Amino acid sequence: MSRELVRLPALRAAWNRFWFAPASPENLACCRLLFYGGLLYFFGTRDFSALAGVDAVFWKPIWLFRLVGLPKPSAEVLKVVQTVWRFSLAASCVGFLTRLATGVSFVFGSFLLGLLYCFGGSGHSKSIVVFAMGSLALSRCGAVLSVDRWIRARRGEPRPGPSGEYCWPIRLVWVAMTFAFFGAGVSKVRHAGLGWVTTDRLAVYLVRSNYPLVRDSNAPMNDWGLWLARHREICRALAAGTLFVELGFPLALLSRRLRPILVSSAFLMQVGITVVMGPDFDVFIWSYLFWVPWDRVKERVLGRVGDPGLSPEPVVRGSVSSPP
Amino acid sequence: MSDFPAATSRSASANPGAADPPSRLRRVAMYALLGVLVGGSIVAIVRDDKSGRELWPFSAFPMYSNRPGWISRSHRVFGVLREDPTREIPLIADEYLYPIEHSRFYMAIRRMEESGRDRDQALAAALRETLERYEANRKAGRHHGPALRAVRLYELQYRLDPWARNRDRADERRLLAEVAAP
Repeated sequence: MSRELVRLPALRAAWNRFWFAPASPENLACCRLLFYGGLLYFFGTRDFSALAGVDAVFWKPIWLFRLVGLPKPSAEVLKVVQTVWRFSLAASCVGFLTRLATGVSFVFGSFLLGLLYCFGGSGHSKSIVVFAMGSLALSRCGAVLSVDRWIRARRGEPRPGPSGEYCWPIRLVWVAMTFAFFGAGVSKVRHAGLGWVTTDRLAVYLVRSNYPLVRDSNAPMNDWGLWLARHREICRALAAGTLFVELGFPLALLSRRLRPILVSSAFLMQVGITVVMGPDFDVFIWSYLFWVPWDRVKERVLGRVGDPGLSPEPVVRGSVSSPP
Repeated sequence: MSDFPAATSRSASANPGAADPPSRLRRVAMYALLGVLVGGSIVAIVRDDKSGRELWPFSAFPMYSNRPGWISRSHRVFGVLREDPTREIPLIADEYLYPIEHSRFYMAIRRMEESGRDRDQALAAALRETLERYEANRKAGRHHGPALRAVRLYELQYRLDPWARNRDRADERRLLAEVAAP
């Protein structure tokens, strides 16, 4: 008991370091810029108002819509909502009125993305976006690389230095992605057991993907899946690797050494699934940008580490600490 | 006064590796969001409903977790060509089913087939709506598919071949429902 009490402060310190280690504001700002830019690319031309014309026989609201009592919206309402959402995504991307823009992006985006699943059934490829938008809406992601910052600089306000404020929003997206992979691994073990690795299950999925009237998703990019399916040992190795990455993904939160291995493996796994099985994971794939240390990438690209002349603005604190 | 931390707090300045928590209000907001994410995700993972009735935005992510066999059954909607009623095309392309995505459309059809006493009525209404929407999209130039006179829902059965040589013809086909244009 006493030993556990001794450990508590250490655990608390580790917890605080994980969430609130001083981080560069540029890192979070890059994530903001790319993330909202990506959302604009994925959803900027999508016409959600067309859903208003779908017959009520397909209308099956998800629990969140039922809870709030939202009826099937009209085309006029959807046109207004999607226009406001697009503007808020653009404003969030460039960091103009960032607090307001990210808040509106979160609320309106959650509504529109949720609406997609009120016709037929829900899916999970876009759910990560909701948590990323929520996290950024609560954060100070517009502190730098933004129109807001440009306005503040003109008022003579100093450039913000590293802070825990810029660490936790990214970590929250990491946790959301961890639940996605860990949940997928648990689901496989639960429903298929070790048979997912020891039987032809993956081979069957690979073959099914090549049957246009059987598969439930997009067509694969090629028929390499058929070749893979005929090589049992490769299929079983891939199945084992998938389970290992999915069930082991929580370690990416804890271990700096395992993080790049697990995250890049998961990324390659999803790209591989897209190539040989079809599902494109759309915005989920885009969420990997939160794992990239953009401040270090910038330093590498510019090749001017530690050069005080790098920043156009006066930096209050010289060294930029990277999260552990 | 700036709303942003102009410099790292004293603790972080003294020890660059130390935590630098934000204001109490922001921490409360962050922990609330984290609590919703963790709580909802755990419930979704424990529940793990593979039939598509997920707790969006929470999910167990049950992709590829069921037990598929080498015999596959699927239900698909086909359109009967207006010009040649002996020919049919499968309605599987997203542009034919717009604005509902292919996977969601067939999830909805499956749900209607599993619904009890209203099954036939619901299926007929859904197929009629699908035919009308297909034609409306075609006339609006959203796709270049042929004009249809009817739609049919079939159950298809395939014995999967490792070379997918029979991908274009089902081993068995059973008509489940049909709706013609008025």
